[in-house]
Amino acid sequence: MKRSWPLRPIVLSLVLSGHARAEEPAPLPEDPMAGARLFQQKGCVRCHAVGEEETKLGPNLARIHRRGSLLDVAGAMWNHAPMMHAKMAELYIAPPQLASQEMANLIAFLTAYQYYLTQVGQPGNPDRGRAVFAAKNCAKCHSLEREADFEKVGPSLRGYARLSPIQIAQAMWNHGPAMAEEFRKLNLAQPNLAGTEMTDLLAYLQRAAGPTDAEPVYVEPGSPNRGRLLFDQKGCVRCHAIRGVGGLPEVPDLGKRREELVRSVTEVAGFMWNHGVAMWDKMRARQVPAVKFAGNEMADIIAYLYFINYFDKPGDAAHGQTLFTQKGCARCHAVTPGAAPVGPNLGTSSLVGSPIDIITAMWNHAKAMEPVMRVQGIPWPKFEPGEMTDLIEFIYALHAPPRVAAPARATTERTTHEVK
Amino acid sequence: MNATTNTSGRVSRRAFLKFAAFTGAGITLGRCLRDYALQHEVFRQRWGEGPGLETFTLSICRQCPAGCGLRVRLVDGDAKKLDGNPLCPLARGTTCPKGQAGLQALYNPDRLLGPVKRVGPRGSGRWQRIRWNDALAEVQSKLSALRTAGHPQALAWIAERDDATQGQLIRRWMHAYGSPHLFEFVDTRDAAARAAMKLCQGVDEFPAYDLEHAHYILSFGTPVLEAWLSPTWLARQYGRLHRGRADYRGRFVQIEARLSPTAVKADEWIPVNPGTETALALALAHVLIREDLYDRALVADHTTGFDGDDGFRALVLRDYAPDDVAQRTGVPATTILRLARELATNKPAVALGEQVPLSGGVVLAWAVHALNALNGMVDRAGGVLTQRALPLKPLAETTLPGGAPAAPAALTELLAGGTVEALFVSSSRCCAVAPEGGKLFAAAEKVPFIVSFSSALDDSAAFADLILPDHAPLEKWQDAAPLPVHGRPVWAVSAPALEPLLDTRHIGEVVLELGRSLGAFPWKDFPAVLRFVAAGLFEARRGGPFSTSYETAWTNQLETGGWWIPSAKTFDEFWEQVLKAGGWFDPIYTYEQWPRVLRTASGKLELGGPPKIQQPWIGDEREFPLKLHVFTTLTTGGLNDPNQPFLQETLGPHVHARWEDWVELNPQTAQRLGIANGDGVWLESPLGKARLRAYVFAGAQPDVASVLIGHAHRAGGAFVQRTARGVADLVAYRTDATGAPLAATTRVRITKATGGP
Repeated sequence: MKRSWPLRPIVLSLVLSGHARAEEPAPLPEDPMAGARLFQQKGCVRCHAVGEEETKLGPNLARIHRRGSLLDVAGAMWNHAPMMHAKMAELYIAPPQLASQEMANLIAFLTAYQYYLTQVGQPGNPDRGRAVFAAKNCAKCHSLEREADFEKVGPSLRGYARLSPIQIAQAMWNHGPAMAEEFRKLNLAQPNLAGTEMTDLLAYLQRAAGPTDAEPVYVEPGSPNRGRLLFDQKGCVRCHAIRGVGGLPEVPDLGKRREELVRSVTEVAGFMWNHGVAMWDKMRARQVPAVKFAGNEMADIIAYLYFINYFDKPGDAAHGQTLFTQKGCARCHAVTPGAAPVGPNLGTSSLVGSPIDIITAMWNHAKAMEPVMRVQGIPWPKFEPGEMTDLIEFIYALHAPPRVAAPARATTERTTHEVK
Repeated sequence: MNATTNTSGRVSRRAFLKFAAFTGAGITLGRCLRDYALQHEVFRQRWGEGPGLETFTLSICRQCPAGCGLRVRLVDGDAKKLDGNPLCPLARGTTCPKGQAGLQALYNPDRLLGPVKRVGPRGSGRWQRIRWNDALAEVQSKLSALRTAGHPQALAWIAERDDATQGQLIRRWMHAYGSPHLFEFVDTRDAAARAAMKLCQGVDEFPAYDLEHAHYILSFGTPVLEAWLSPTWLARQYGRLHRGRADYRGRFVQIEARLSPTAVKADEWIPVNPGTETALALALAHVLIREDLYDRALVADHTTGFDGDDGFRALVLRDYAPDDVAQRTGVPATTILRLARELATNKPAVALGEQVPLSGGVVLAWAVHALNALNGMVDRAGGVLTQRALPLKPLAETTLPGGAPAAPAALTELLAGGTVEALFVSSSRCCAVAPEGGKLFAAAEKVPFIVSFSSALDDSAAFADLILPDHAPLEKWQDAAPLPVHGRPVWAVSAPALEPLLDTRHIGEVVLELGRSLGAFPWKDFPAVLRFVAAGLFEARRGGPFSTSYETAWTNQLETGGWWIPSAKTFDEFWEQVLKAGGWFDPIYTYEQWPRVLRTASGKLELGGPPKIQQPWIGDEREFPLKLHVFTTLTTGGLNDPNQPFLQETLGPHVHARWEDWVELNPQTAQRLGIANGDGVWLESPLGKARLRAYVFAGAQPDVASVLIGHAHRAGGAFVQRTARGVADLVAYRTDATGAPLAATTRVRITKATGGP
């Protein structure tokens, strides 16, 4: 019987930095975009449009606003299975079967799409951005009209318009300490960017400061794993804890700032900007050089911040047991050896591997399970956020031997079990 | 006594002429029959003897300038069926009738077998097959002589406007050779619209239209569902307007002098007197201003020339009150009020003012552009856009002297001036639709050396001295950079779908060979040029190979956020992907990039209009009581090779017209003239007359004769209607500042022809 959560080398690999920690944080998706291709290959696109695609049968992904962890997304997929099967039956489409790794890729994509890409796609309001530009005193130091304005302290912003918002945000971050100094000299208040102000400001810069013929410059989406390495290398981890690991007690634990970090990239950049002002002062007091980013580094850092809560904390097995009964699972699945109702015995099933394995098995057997449940008058079980985590924890608890770390590549990879 | 000899045994003059005529005819007929036999043999041998292996490959439709992607079904290597490339963002798996008929251009039985040289008088139709080397040597010799004599400018080239590689190559070659006389035509776009963009926005390019996001489309005679932009793309946008959004059904209003197929399919047809569309557009502007329905913020921030005593507002409020305009246009004032209110309250709403193949004039294009600006629909979603640049790598500059391409309107003048000693023709489309076309042919007679690249004996080839037939599109490496459609850059590219069937040669290869003697081109062949230009796409780090609608939307969404994921690590990998998909596309358009789209000196959209030129109708109203309204159809617009029976069969389905030119007459007018449906009639203008078939059609306006233009030709294959004088010859050649020939210029009369059609 498979007891430990297996490695998923590409999607679920854990990359440890050189920084020693007592406990390792959760794994991160290596390539959230791999699921984008899968979304097409598995035929999801036949019913779900993305972006400005023409209306399809199912809801446009951009309109599904659901925030949650990996298992919350899995729960949402599970919940929509009966409706999906019915529509697919009408269209004579076979429901997609997924391998574990495919499921992992797909959920990583849906998470990235939900938390990372769609919200970036919502452009800021340039008119509001103009007001921000004036109200935050940007115009005192920066020119928008000319390539070079020697009356201004800061560089001209012409030419920045063709850059990606994340590149502009990175440039702002890098010049932050110098700007803070200049504000002090001018006796101006340090500008804080609340809500969508950063997004609006960037939209205004793109509209107002665009060169005549320049085409935009794009960057590749950040990598959560590269971001984690950078988080260590740049020394962020010395001050900021991630779920209680590392950091200083008086500095916010970023693992607990989900609401602020699961937003659009530019909003997170604004959040970083706001805390930068205080951070630079402290770093100067400690004679620590200010953190600067180059290339794609800020995108990587923000990608990491998005995904630090991607994997769930250990669930509540006791609550999971309650759910197992309440949701009707127990009417078909036994959990004690010997009993043999309709479905496989979850206490002995070899399907119980990683959480991804479990939800993959659930997804694949949903099509067969649905008519049986209908005959027996059992309503389709639906899971609220967090419930899937508890249920899976309960299933794990049925498997007595302790979970062990995978022996291979032990220095660089850990199973999700170890994380717990 | 033998009738051919007299008693002295001498051959009489009459007998000699008879003998010569019969001998010549015999030789010509024999050559033709031999050629036909050979040609049919070529096609016949390819079919029916293989294992029946089915394959699919991609190509590009060149039936019109749109450049939609094709998917070609081949059986044993023979092309059997054409469909749209499902990944092409224009076609999305569909074709228009012209695209479907593309196989008939490939298997055209009147295609030339190889290069030929004229051996009889010009236009006599006597040709001799020659080898490619000899043909090219003759061209090289002529070109060298001109350059040596210091007259490279004595060379002129008539081509279809092509922003892709072949067109760039011709431009570059002309530049290297040293002649500025390159005339590039396109008859599926209105040059006046481009002029209006230049006038108002300082952008020297055709406008693009964001129809995908429009909720309301108001067309001033633009053949939206016929021969304009890309028919496949437009058909999809038409469908999307009505059924593409779950929460909104859009509306499409067509203002036109006749009930065209576009007007039939519109939600509403507004009949208008020909040539009065400008007044109607300005009357709508009048209502928007008077009722304060215009976009004050856009007008204040991004336009100039609106205020003041002679500003746009004063002009339209003074001269274009709906009641006055109703008299001129025939459109009731209440309708004008309603249209203006609909336009202002159903945003995104866009007005279209392009008329093809003959122009509505720069004043109309300006008026419609100003109307869009007033309605706040310039460079906004659902409005008029400015094309984003296609990042193809430009062909290297040469150090040889040269000049910029000349304006097309000067062609006839230049040829008539007698200074052109060599003329290359790679598109004869301009000959079919140019008003007073006879003058162009007469002027071309003065050119001592004409080379045509046509693959059959069409209008230009029939009068050429040397014909170097190009491959059919399916047989060649090719690319296409469509003229602005939706503002996003598109580049289609394809390898040959099949080997050339005949002894033809790629025009790009010919140009390269001619260029080698000038030391102008380093590329070994045309595919190498394609790879060279495609490197610009790879280096641009945006967009990607043609993809499904999902992947395209995904790329768009990523780019909107400033992200881009490369599809390939190396250029070779990228090139393979692009060839496999059929092209490259960058789906994003960022609206309101004012510095990019407003390039006037003021940096604003300039509403000061062009000088209004009063163009009196040619022809006395008493002698010529009808106004001539010309149109083209989906199956003829932009078509280079008319020798296709499928298209001839479907010329005018709304009146069941096939194979021949026709005139549409209002029932009252027809009754007054004593003309019944299907009668043969004479259409007469002050410039001459032509015989047509009359269709009595309730969709025609009284006292207007609506006539198909550009269909009949002076020369062509077995399926082409041939005539010495076509409709285009009867249309008076009048232009405005753009040089584009105007549509509403000529009065005509119609009389019933005797003897049946």
